[in-house]
Amino acid sequence: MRPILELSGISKRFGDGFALENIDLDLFPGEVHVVVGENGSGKSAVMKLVGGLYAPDSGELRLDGVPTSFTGVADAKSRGIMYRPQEPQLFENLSVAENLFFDQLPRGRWGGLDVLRLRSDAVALFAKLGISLDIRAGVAALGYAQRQLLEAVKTCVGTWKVVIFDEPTSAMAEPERAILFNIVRTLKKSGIGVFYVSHRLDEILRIGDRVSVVRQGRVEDTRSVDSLDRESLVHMMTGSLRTERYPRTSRVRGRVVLEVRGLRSGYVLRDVSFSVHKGEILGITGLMGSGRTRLAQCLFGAVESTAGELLLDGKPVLLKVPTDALSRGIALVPEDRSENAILHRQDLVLNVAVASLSRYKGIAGLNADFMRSLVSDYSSRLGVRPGRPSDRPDKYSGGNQQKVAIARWLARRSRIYIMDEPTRGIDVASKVDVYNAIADLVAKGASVILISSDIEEILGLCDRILVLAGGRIACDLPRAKATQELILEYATAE
Amino acid sequence: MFALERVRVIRNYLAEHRQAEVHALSSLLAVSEVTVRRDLEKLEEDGFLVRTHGGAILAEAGAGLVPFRGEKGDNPLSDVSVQALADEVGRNAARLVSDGDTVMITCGPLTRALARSLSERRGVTVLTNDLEVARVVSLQDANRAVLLGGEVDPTDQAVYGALSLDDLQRFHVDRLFAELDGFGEDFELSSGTQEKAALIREGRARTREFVILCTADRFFRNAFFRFGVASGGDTVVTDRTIDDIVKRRLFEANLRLFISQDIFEGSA
Repeated sequence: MRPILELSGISKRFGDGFALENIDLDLFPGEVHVVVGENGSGKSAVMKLVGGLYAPDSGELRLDGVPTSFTGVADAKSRGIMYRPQEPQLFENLSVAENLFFDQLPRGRWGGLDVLRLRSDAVALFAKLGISLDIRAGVAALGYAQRQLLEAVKTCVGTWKVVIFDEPTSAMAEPERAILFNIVRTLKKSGIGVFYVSHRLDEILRIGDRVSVVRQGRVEDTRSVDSLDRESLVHMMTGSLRTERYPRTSRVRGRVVLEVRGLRSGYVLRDVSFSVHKGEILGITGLMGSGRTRLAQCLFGAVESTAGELLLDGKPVLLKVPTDALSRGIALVPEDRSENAILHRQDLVLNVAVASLSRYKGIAGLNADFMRSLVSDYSSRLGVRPGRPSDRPDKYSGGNQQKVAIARWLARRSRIYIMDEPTRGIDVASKVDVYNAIADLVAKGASVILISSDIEEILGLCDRILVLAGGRIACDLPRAKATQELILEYATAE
Repeated sequence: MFALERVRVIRNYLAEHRQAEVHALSSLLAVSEVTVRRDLEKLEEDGFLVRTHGGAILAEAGAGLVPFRGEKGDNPLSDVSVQALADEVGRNAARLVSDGDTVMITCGPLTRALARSLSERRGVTVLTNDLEVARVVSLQDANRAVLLGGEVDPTDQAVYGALSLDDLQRFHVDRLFAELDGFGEDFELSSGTQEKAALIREGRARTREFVILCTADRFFRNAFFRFGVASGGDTVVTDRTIDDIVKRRLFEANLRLFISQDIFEGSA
């Protein structure tokens, strides 16, 4: 049998220095080819190349044996390649059925929308797949997992040669996953080739035919799933880590500053308890959808928890809104800096100073000189380049933006810093700057809760590591005992 | 502390930090806040700073006139920054020393800054060839200095030669802190004199952990005498003017890089 899709010797350089190098990968009709790798390894970039989002710099992509290049996503789609991105991309103001058939809405005789057929088609499809969603409901009312599912169902509409799923189950619970696997099997049976990006061991073993590992922009290994058991799969996925390159100093652990008891938040967090010590870097890791970000939000008062208790210095506190947390010395450097942290259309001075304005208060309003000099000092210390006061951080690179967000909260002089994925998607030099800022924080007695899906970073920096799975703490590992295998094992346990 | 000395400390503090808070200065100088305010008033009259609520900021005009060592005007601001950067590197490197450690410290401005920062540690034994390092550490109550033997080099104010190398054989140290003159593009380590190179090479052969101290302008340059190559697991401590390319190259080569940001001002 001939592969429907082949990538041979494909390279692609990205602006921030990251590169895909010499990628060889193929896909056969009726095959599920699982692609695994750490965050930032380049696995999604490879899939985007196949899906027509990126064009390769060199190398060849062959579709049905014919060398091909795509001008864009629409072009790839028209030639039978369906790419489902990691984040659901649905139309908020349309109904479930309308989203489902958006690319080929049934038309009536006069060109108008055939609402009745649209509904009956949607009902029939949902019945076939065993989905109990209201097809008339607006997408805005759906939860994240339901949106992911709806995105997956879209692959059953239209005729495809290749379907690509990029971490389709990250937020799904078992019932939704069962439906998704059903969809994948249906695609497979009709001879469609499926690329499936995943972190989850059990998924690979359940639906995969072959598995490829992507690491640092290269395909490291491709094997048949039949030849692998759980253990050899873990070994294949992990490879060797270089944890000694992280700027970490040994410190004496201080007293407990924050204690979390029985924290719950909706269905996302179920009974989370742990404590944070003074001068400690506490790592929290887990798969997407394990509740990491929600935990950060609860500790910061951005989302109210439904049950549980927080004790600061042994005294119970109630954090209903972020200002409650801030006034008690808890700061959050959020995930996705461009969206959540950077003030767009504002200069560097305001972007850094905004969380610590009370420091610059003079008799007649803000002391602009002091504010400016402090901001320049912070930016130069943290390596924000060029770091001129009049710079617009919304135009900075991701790494610089992240450093601006961190400088803002350092200037606030808090006690506990929660950092949610502080190095995701930033350049290596900026990562080193961020790690050094974390080292400086804990050396001076602050505590850092580092939420990250980069296991090497977690192992390299943290004194203690909590693994979240399904909204619970699957284990609490001291540094000396933590290994990548152990973390992966706990994170993916069902 | 005399008024003149206090003023000098405040000047240096401001030159480095560009701003200061009264309570911080008061605890730094161990005098009352009233005294600090009086000193700030005087410095404001000189046009050196502008007083603010609870503190002071460096006046832009005053920034160029800061004397760092010696008398007014004999050192430009660049010297202030160099010394301030060296102190930051010293403080940062001191975090790699735990109470009770035995470490070897070679000679240089950065290693001297490191020696000064060891005052917060207890039970540290420092083996050194640098007279100043030995003097500073010996005056720290809780720490101990051991000076290697040898001929005193008049410019470096340090001892070198066969005697020092022989002496070295008798000690076991946990960690070597060595100041370099060159860190080449291919990670070759080098120094300006043969004696220094020989001492660091010998010291490195006798320790498990190797900590390289160098200023950021030494990267991707070679000094004349080479003594080895930095390899995975080694630690580098440098100042915060380091180039992004160096950060990346070192991280990718599995070197542990400490950049002396000294950014966090402590919890409010």
